[in-house]
Amino acid sequence: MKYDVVVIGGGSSGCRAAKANAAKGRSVCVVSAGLTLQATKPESEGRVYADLYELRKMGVAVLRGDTVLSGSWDGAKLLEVHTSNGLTLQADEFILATGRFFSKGLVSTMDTVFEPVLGADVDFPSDREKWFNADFFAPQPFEQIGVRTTADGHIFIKGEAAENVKAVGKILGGERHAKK
Amino acid sequence: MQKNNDSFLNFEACLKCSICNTVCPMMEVNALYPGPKKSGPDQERYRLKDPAFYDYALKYCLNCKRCELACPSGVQVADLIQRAKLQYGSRSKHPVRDAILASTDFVGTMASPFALIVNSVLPLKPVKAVLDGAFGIDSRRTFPKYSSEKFVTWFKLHAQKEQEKYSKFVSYFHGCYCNYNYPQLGKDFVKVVNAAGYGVHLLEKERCCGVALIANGMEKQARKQALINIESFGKAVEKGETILTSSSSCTFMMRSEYREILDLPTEGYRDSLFLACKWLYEKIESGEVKLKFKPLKMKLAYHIACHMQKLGWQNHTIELLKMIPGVELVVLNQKCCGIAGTFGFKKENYEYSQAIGANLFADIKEAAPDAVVTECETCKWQIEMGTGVPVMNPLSVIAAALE
Ligand code: SF4
Ligand code: SF4
Repeated sequence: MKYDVVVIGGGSSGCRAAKANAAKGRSVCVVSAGLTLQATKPESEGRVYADLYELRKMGVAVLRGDTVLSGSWDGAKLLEVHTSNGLTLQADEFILATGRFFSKGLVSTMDTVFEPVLGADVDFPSDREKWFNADFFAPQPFEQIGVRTTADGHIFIKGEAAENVKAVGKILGGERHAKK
Repeated sequence: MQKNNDSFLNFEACLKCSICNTVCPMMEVNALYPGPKKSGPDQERYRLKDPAFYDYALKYCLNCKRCELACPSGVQVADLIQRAKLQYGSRSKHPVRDAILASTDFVGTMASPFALIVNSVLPLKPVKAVLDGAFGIDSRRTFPKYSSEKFVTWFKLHAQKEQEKYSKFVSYFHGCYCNYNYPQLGKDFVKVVNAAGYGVHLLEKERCCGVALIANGMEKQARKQALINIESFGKAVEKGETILTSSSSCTFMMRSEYREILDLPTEGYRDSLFLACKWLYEKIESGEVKLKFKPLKMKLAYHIACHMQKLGWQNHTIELLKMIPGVELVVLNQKCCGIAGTFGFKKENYEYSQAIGANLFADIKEAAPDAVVTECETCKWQIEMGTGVPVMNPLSVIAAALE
């Protein structure tokens, strides 16, 4: 199944990216594992839910309850992704919007942090002690952890910039913190 | 989402975010229903402690799976509820009615030879009043009609021989609705699959998938029938045949519920069992199959049935329908139609069923299509009754457009 753009993740950033691309007349597919927790945050109450419906109206293919498991590459170009419902989605451009730790866009183990869907390179302090601040309410360093990107948002795979995959939203790390 | 942890159907992964509650169609119309969060992961803790904590309001769950699709933590919310219903739920107040509604195979076999009589008798007021009063089947329901010639009879008489012309084959799980109520669906299936260059075989043995048995708490019977189907699937797979279906709920039942609710082994055939539309689209996409369509001047509204969304193959159908010249296609917002199989036939549920369906009916009326397209037959009954708009299986649309 081929689209101009496949968005991996149906949270607020993924929906926004899908909408922007659909508005440009491109064919878009969004793979959304669930209604993300964004919907329960006071500042975005119900918005993601509404967005998914709005997207369907714009002709965007929304796959609710499906997850991207892996991708197939030709060098630095992502050709297609495979989902848990057995779909293969091809696209000229992919957008990675799977969020941070809570939504499993990033996964941490005792000594490393990785991006589980495509294996994008992640920047994190090598010393685990430096991931946390003992003061619970202070900004936490782990919130800065995110996938490494080029200046225009392309992710890296094993040190090489991906030609057609951009990351958007929280998976980039930085900006917000839990105190908010 | 995340891999299951060790808890039963992943219930410990629940974050109590309540997102599932926001998409539950039953909770929206029925204050007596505690909703997916409470019925699933919350009460599971109590049920494990003492079965006396089982809440009888769980009978209201439609098993639409919308809660599962919305859950960000991968909790199998609806599966938890179905398992609890089977394990702790008491006998119904209407055991005879439930058995009649659930035993599609048996009732179909009995009704087919008398189709003319059954069809003319069922809609009669006094008959409906008896069904209503004595059995609790709501008199406001229109009944699906029984066909006088079963699909299987037609196939054996008129189609089976021709199939041997082909060199490649698929096995067809036709389901009860096609066999007893609407053989035309099976005829359309054969036409489409033949046009794709494949011959059709029936399974060695086929029983009702059991979706209605599970919904009515008849686990033992469901298991018996499932085992017969699984054995036939195994034989089809051995012959190298893909098993194709035309109805979304049977498909979902046999691919997922056999494993999640009945604990039966599905590995042997799961990856060889598909809805015909998914299979067909993939054949066309890979270039193996080329179909020629003639223009079909119709406005169609595609309704993604709840179990279809759970299967996740709606895009295949949408793309196939888009290939037909002249078709104007509207994809409806995914809303539950409210019938949920046999649920809406029961007197005590009729009002809820219609209240849930009202949202979808309004969308359909606004879209004003010539026909609604959906893979689910109980949605078909509900939508036809609620809107008066005819409902077609996508295979019938494709068959009508074949040159
Ligand atoms: S399966 Fe449907 S009716 Fe049952 S709890 Fe989940 S959303 Fe509600
Ligand atoms: S959506 Fe999932 S995590 Fe949230 S309350 Fe429901 S079951 Fe729990």
